[in-house]
Amino acid sequence: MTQQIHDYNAGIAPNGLFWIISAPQEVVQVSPGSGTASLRMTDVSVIDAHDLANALTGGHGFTNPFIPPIAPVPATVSFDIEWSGVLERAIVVNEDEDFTGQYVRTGATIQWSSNQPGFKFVSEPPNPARNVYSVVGHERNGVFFHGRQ
Amino acid sequence: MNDQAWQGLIRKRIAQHFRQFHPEGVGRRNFLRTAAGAAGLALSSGVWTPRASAQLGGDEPKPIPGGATPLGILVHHFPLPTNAPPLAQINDPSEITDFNGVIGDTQIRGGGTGTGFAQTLAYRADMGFMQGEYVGEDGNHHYGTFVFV
Repeated sequence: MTQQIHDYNAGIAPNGLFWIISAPQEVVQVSPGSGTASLRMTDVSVIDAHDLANALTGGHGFTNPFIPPIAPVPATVSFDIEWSGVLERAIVVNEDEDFTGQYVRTGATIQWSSNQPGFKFVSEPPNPARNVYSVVGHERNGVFFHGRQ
Repeated sequence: MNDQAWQGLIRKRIAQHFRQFHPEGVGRRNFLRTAAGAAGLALSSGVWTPRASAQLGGDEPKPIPGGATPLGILVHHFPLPTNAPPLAQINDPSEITDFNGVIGDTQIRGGGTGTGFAQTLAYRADMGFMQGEYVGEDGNHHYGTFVFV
């Protein structure tokens, strides 16, 4: 991401889990059949890695093209995401990636903010026109895809 | 833990992860191929943090086996498409494998205001959730809610 000045993320676990945090059940409200869902969390502790290269290299930057190393700093983010408006429905079976599901492509909006020493960000009000691609669904993968469980 | 020690721990765990999961390293050609992107802020992407590990215990889920390769580095996450293909063509929107549950995934781009900037800052938010049954690293079945930030 060129000209990037902040990169908020929750981290890679030692086993490779990417960007994931465990959360209370109630932060998610979802009705996959109707293509609606919400995700709301407040003051989630993350780090600001400045840019994607530093996020992926643990603050080591990159050599060519040169991206200077920048140490991550603690930050918090809050967000309210809403999925609604059915655009497409499909049952997907993907043998190569071992997953299947009933999915609904939907509209979506987000309002989010970040806070860290010396910098705060507040996104514009929720705007359906900003949605690029959003999905809600019910899926099975791995052992559940193969029916072993 | 002071800041220096925390950063050292992050680097150590990142290096450990790369040795274990990505021994092929980061290639310059791959970086040049994938470096283009938007300007501004991103809400999501990753580096290991002590918090992420502390939240995920012996019941932690396992990552999907595949994923995208930003900067030539495999990450266990498939970003949603940006060109609105049919749902049948999406990659696994879940980040955890051996999973049977509901998912929400979204990619939204927009703008907002940040401390010290008179002009609008652009952002990209790749976020979502997984909620349901999964087989954890311990081989047992669990139920959980996971948010990727």
